[in-house]
Amino acid sequence: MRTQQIRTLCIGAVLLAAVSGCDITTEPKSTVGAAAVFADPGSYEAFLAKLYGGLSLTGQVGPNGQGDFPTYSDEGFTQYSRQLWQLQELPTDEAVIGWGDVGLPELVTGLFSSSNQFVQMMYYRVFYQVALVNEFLRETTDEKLAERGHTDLANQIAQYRAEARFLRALSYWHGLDLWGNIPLVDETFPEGATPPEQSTKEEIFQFVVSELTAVRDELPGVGAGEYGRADQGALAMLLAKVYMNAEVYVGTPRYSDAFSEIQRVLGGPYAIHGDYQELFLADNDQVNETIFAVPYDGLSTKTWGGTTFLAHAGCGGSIDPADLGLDFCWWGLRVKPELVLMYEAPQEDSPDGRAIFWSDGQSLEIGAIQSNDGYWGPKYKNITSGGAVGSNTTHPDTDFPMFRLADAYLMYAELALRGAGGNTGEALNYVNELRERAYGDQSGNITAGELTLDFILDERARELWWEGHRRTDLIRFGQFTGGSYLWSWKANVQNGAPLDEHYALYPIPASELVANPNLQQNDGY
Amino acid sequence: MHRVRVCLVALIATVAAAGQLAAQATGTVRGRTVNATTNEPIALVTVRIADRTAQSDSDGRFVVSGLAAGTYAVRANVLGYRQVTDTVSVGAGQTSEIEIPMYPMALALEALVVTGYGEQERRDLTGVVDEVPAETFNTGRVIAPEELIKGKVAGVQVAEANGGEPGGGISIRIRGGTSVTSSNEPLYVIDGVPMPVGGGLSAGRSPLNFLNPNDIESFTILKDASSTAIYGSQGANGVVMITTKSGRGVRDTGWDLTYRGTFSGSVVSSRPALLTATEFRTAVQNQAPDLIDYLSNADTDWNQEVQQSAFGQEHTMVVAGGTQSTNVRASFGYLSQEGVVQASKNERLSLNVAFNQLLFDDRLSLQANVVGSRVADRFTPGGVIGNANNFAPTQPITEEGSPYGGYFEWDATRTAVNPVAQINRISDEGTTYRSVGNVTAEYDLAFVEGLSATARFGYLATSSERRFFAPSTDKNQINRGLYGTVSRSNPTEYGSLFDGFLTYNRMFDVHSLNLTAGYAYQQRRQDSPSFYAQDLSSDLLGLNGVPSAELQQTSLFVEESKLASWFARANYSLNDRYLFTATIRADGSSKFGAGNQWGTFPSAAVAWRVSEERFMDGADFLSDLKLRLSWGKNGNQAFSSYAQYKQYVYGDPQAQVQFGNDFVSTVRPSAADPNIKWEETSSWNLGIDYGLWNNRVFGAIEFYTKETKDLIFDVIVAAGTNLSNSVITNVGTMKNKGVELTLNAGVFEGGRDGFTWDANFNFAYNKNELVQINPFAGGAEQLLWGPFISGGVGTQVQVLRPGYPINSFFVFQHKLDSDGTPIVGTDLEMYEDLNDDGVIDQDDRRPFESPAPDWIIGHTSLMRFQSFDLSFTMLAQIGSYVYNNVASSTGFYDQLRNSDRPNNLHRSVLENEFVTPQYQSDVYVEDASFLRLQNIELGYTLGGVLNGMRLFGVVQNVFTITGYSGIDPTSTVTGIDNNIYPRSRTFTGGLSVTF
Repeated sequence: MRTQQIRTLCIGAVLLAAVSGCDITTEPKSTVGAAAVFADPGSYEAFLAKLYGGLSLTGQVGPNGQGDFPTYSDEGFTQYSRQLWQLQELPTDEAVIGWGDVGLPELVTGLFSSSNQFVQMMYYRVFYQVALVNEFLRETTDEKLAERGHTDLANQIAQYRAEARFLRALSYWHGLDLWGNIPLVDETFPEGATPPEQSTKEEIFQFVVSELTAVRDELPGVGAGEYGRADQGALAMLLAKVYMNAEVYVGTPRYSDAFSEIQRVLGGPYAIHGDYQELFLADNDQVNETIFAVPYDGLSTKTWGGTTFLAHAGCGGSIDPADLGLDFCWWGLRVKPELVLMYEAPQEDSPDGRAIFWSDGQSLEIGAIQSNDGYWGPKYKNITSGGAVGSNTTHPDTDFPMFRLADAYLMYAELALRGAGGNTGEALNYVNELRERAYGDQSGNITAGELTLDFILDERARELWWEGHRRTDLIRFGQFTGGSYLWSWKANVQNGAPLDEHYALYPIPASELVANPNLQQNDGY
Repeated sequence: MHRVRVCLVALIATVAAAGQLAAQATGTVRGRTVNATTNEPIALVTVRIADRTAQSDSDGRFVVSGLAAGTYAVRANVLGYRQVTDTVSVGAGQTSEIEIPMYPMALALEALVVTGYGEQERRDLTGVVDEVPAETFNTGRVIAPEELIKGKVAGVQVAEANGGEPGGGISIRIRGGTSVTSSNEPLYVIDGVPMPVGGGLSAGRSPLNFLNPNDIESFTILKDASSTAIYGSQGANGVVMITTKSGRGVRDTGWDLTYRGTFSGSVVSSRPALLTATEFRTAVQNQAPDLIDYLSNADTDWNQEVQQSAFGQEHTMVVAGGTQSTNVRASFGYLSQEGVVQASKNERLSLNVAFNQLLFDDRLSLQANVVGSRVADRFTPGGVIGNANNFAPTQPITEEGSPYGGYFEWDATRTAVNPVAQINRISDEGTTYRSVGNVTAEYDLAFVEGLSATARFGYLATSSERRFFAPSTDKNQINRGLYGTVSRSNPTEYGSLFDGFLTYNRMFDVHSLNLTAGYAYQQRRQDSPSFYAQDLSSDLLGLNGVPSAELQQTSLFVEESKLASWFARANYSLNDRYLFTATIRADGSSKFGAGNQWGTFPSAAVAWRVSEERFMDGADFLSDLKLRLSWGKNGNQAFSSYAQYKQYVYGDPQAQVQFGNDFVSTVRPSAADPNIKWEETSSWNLGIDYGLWNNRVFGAIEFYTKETKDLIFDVIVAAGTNLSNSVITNVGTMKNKGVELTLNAGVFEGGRDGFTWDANFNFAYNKNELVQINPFAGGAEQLLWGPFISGGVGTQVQVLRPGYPINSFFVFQHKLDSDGTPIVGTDLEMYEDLNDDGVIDQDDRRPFESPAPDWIIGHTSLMRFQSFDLSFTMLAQIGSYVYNNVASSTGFYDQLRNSDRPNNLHRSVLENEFVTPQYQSDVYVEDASFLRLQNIELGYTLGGVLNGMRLFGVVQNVFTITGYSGIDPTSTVTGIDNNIYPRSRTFTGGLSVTF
């Protein structure tokens, strides 16, 4: 019947019309896909900013949120400079932390295990930087720029690429220093699929050196870069450190190469700042001594790691947090007595202005790791050199100085004493310049006879305490492991006990060994 | 009581005409089977007179002819009704009329069952389909509709997400969970419209709260692969189909108005075991005497102060009516229920309209259902229950001159906060508007007999809002450095779907064929805008305005998803005895990566109705025996969209990087697996349906095994190979196997006025095992899992380890002394050194029990005597374990020092005498097996008042028998008891009346 056929046809048409709704692709709406994000040329700088941000921040929301590692509960634990600091300072004679989080007391004793969550977090942070840089390099090749019609940005992008490679080399140096035999993954490594092979320390060392040498000329001159960004000064300093420790890494000393790099740094526009404390105040982005810093800001660069951690954790006991420009103290970090005793007596109020300790109500000796014994170390403060409080009492504006000129002076002195170049007279001048800045006058100056390598090791502690260098220095001087130098709680004994030499390298995290069956654990673990 | 009416006129006419009519050899019996209580016709009734059988049609009418004159016994039989025997006399050449009223069995099984995309006769089912009709729902004050079926279906575990919160979120596990990171919730289908994961969007409570339980006709649970395969990549966790009441029942013209109203009162049924003020003072004196000066002299039971007797009421008005070809049912409902903790409340205003229309000579059936509601929630501010457990009992509630709104607060920052102050000063509310509806047209095509076409358009729309305000003088805000917070989020969700399918039914000879094939398309979009302001300059605007604030953050996230599917099903039965079913579904989803865009999900099943076989003729007691075997595959795609894309996320203004004197925003690419796909489950099911003594006792036994592979995990990848240390990808495998047993019995059958007792028992056993989580690990890797417990930082007490159930507790083995008390001392003295290495560390923790119960047992009894009815439901779980986090985080003396001011302790400290915390001790993993009388209802029906009135009273949560020391052994489905909302005992009374 007519009407019946019409009805059937209508139903059929409806069905057909619906079938055409067969499209099942959706594009993300509130985030951008890789193809679209670089249509905006501002994205290159934003991505570069993330590469630097990997050193200071923990995610895309400050101080925490949209974390880079969503699997970790405490996002503050995953911050790069905080973990680097913990791994470089806690097992040495400079610091102790009283918190009981699983894995922290272990770091203080130096008896690391492969299940230590902090070692694990730092490992992933290093490779996170590497992976991000690799992705950046892949997205900024000349072909990609041409595809997107951005060839006019080529010069700017070339500098960005050089900065990215600097950051990758920096992280690989940290990886080499902390673990030694890590895999080498660069931008040519295919993403996803197979786990990388393990490389040797020599290969990593070579890579870092060749990368830095290759990009030097594409960076701004020594001291000429924007604050917070890499330039040839930062690069020279990094290369100097890599060469300085070459004997530890690859068995062959490269002190003369380190010396040439230090010369470049010393030839730059940096100058020793007049006041030591001001190097660690809220406006320390204004000092000329900084070669490379990780900047923080109480309003715009917020994290629970970085100087938020250093300022809050070093505050405790009877310290009034308001004096440090903070909301309240976290009661965590104290200095080990060995560090305190390196300064001129009386240590509670030393003429050496670098002894920024708080001893009121505190014992010098540390009776137990998880306690509040020991002097507090309120070195990092959230007040400006004029005495004003920083912009936010929870998150300091204070930047973390990774490389500064005083470090370069001491490296010169050390290299001169090792016979790698320069002369010891110049070295003595540099050291005394630092001591004059510390004492405020010449009463702390030393004579040429007192300038020995052992003195340099101690002076590095006095000058650079709590700046993330100590473990590397102690290893270079052969004092970290073994029994030649014992400090509180070394090997979990209150007066210190010898530490087996395999602890000079951190263990590769157990989870990484499972995820990457190509890797072998470091000896002794 | 039977009533047999023989038509007097016919009898007289027969006698009168006996001599006049030619003597004929046979007579006929014509009759009608009706439901004795509602007077509605019953279809498909098998009526046996002598050796002749007939089946009643959709109008209940049947005809049996060819009977010699005489008196015969009549037997009428149909599933769901009590068998009726009667007598009828037949005269030669005459027709006798008989009406057979049949009483429904209380635990009835409908003859027609709703399955995916269609209906099927229950007797022909080859898969596992369990139905819960409205008569057997849990009674009393029920807010979230999932509560209605708790304890009613074997293998279905219904667990509250937050204890006894009114209308709180609910998790349903059908035959154990099949996923670890994706949702384990079944697919909810409301009147044929599939809902988003877990029921969809909610402002904080169960998303299905928009349904008025009084409007639900039945729940149909699809459990095995054969019945769920038609839902393809959404069916791996089972399917819960909710059918709302329609006007179909009202055949006669006219209108019906029904009102049902209830009032209820609830009290807390158990309190946590904490120290009293005196005991607390003693503890402080002995353990932390330097803190004694902080204590005041009050005696406050904080839990009592924040709890209340909760009152509630519900009113539902239903208007139903129709004509021969039109049916309408509209219901209006209002519910208001407070929670037993102050400041929590749930209010619902709901409207449900069902419309049925037959057109074109009954060829076209048009059905429209719309459910809409407004739900207003008030939430107890977060932290109140924890603070009530922690705050020192020696402190007063108010303090003169206090700057915190007059309430007493400690004068330090790392402390507990006055919970009464929080309840009275913080606001946390939500409102949800939700509507789900569909229009379905089914047309019987004329040119092919038995072919019909169905088209369904469905929609779902949710708009919700969550508002929060805490004043700047609230102590918790000050402690955390927030100084006042106001926030509001407005998530919305919209979805539409289209289903089109053809159905073909054919019966010829001994064969019966039923085919369905069709196409379905659905799309959804969810928008989540929100803003948040902190450090407020003024408290005057409260919830409704934003004063200038130090920190303001806004966020917006939009997520879309699409699903296109083709499906087909064939049912074939031979001789009414041998049944075969095959289904297949192909799903293409926007969530799957490019390499795996389409997935195929087949299933097959066979069944053998043994009781129809001739060799079973002697076994009279066995009225039904059917063996079933099914196999199938289905999937789970309940993970977020866009996981296959490397998404670039912009950084917010607090996460900028300093370049020179400027700050630059960052952008970050995320790790992604471009080939991500669904989690796939294949399962086998062997079932036996049985019925004894004319189905006076009936039920089923099921054996099943399920294997799920491609479980989605955030897997730690080799460092440097992807843009994070982990990536979401398909890696794991898991197994579930178990047994289910259902028994329904008509224990006493007293007829209309005698004592009747129907009972249902269901037993289910499930064993879960995780097989693999990382392909590199060769089965050896384990992952610490579960929520972070209260106490320590980032401590987890559960683990995923291959070879053990998921979410197994991962704890040290605590050594016990001779009278069973745990030993206190050094780590080595307290815990077993399982690997004998002389050190107690993470390697000495071992998997120990899991929160999932081994056995779930439910029992329902329905009794009737004259005008009274009594029913009760019991529920038991055996073998579930719970980690008592309240005890572990407050049951040690150092807890007095953990904060700046002493916090209250758990009573277990008086027994255990722990000084330092022992979060990872197995002392806190307690056996939470329990037996609970879930509800008991007594009702009285007044005949003759209007069209029927029933008065009833219900008590819920009557008693619980358990060895668990916390307040509730059913603390969430994760197994961690951490300050959950307390459970309550509720007394409800009400009436329902039809005008």
